[in-house]
Amino acid sequence: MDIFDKLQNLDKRVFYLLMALAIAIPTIHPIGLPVEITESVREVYEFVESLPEGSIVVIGFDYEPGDEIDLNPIAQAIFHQLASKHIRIVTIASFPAGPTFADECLEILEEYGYEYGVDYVNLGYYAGGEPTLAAFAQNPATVFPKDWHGNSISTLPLMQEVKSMKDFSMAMTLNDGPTGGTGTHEWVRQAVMAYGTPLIMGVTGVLAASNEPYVQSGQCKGILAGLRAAAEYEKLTGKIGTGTVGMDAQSIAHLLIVGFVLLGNIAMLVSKIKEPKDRSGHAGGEPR
Amino acid sequence: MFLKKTLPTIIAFVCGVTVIIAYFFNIPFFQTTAQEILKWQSVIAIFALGLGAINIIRVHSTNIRRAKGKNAYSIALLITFIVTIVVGVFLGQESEAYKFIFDYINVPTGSAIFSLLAFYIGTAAYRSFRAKNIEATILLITGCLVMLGRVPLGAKILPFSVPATDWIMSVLNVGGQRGLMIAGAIGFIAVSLRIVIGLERTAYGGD
Amino acid sequence: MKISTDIGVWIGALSALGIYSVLIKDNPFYTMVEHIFVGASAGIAVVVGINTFLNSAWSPMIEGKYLLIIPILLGILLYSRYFEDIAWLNRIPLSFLMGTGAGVAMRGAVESQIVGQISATMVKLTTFDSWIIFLGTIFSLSYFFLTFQRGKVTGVTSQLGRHFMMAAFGAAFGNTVMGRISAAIGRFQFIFLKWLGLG
Repeated sequence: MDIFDKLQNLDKRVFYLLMALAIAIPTIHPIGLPVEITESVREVYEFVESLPEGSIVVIGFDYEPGDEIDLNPIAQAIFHQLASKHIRIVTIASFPAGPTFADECLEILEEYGYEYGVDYVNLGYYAGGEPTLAAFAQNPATVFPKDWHGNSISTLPLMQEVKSMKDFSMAMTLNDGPTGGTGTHEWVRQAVMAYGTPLIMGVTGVLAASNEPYVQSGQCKGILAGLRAAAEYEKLTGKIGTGTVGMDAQSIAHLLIVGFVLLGNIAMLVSKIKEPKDRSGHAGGEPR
Repeated sequence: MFLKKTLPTIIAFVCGVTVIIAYFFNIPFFQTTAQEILKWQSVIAIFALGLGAINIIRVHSTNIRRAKGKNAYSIALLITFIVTIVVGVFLGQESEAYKFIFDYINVPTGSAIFSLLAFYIGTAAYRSFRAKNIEATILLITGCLVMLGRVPLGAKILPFSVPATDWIMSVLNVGGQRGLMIAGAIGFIAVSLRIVIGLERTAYGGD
Repeated sequence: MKISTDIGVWIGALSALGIYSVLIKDNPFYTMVEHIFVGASAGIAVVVGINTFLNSAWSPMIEGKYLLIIPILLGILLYSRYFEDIAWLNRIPLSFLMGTGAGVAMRGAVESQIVGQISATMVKLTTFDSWIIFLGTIFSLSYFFLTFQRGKVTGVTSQLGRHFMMAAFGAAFGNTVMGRISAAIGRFQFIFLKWLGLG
């Protein structure tokens, strides 16, 4: 068995070890590679910049543990920008863990002097996915008579200004897929198509490609996909956070996978070239 | 027979048709009824959360009974389950104890489980991303270009990968994904319609 | 290096290590951590469910919205599935959920996923990119024409459609890798920076 055959049948634990090192080393010793701003992220940034000062936006925390490393930094980066324009924020969640993530991300608003109930509200969790989002869009008070902290929403000044989805200058979903919660298609249907409220998405990498047609069709104003988009957004807002810190490890890990894919293909190619030779060697000859 | 078969079909039909009419026609009666239906379904859906919990209790209490109390895994699961509920209900979701469970048990373990895929997806790519035919080669090239174009180091090594990724995502990908999206929506609408008009009773436990 | 003295950080780090130990070999430590996670997750779902029920159904009902008793009773009927004799009763709340869900999804899907997408494709084809999007959509749609026998032309277009979809899957895969690695980065940051105090 030569090196190429060995490469074709490499023990997967060798790869696991290399992958662990590829993530661990840049985590401990960051390289500080510069992150360039892409057009798609800039478009989202500029769209949010164009929102009227003091308007209200709704943000859906539609993800569960495991995807917070991608989506919490996006939420925080967006909150920094919204707060700098004093745009008020209402959060809802379609996963049980969502309201707690929202609470953790909303904490950064304190540095801008935001007051709970006046400038931001965490309405909490709703069950039922899309039909409940539709009910919320028609009249938020029917789905959330109380907020996440148990306050009646009639006592929250911010919620007195919100009678339907139309009252939000922008909707955003931080989304990791439709299983168990409200997906991105559902947000397009209930926010954009039903009420004409502009929508942006913060999604995990896996959802970026499948939602791109919505951007091209204008049904979605833009997509922030994963940690990379968070890093770019942090650069745009000037508030460096966990998105930027993770990009070095992301770089090395991606390179490792691409390297291995190329190596696997080279090994396959070499084995293919050698194959007919081996066969001709045996053909016609008597086995010894 | 009426209660078992016909009533569920009528309920699905009335609910489905009412919310559709309310969407397309501004008739106050349908608007109000649809809003009530949507609110009611949100309340019913809350109860569905408990179904998973009951299944977990049933499976793991059976495990413990069968192992005569020696199944440490199931015991640990049930203890964590009960402690979390007691803490969340009696101390509240804003208590330190609840946040401790959320921040130091639920999130780190959940993230670690999800992140196992980082390792598996890498080996899967290594083993299966082979340029054996045209389709596999297209998959391989677009996958690798996007992987490189998404990270700063990739952009340094292969600067072409950044504009290529943008083009793949916003043009090539849109063509393929849009076909999938339209075809998927047609199938999805057909199934939804069958549910509403009672041809797909298996969706709600009928036959 | 400054190891954390926070018990929570220790538990979080050891839980993550327990999960990663499965990469070497399936082992009892991994199974235990996995079971504890399932217990905590299910517990959190129940807690959130109870609070949501109290906030959005129970409180409004006792404050005067008495009709809410109907969905509450329907919700309870979901549990009839655990009693053989009355298991059929759960069809009533399920039909309510399914009918409403199907109606809501259907009404928006026509506009957003069919009309919206087709009109975005049927634009003036003045650029190379708009041609690619147009042809990609037509070709990949033709792959799903299953109701008639494919001829020469439709055979070619559906084959080209497969190529476009492969490109889309490749793009999705590249992005998926990024998402999964992000999750690992989060845990590694927790272990090396927060727990071990390295870096």
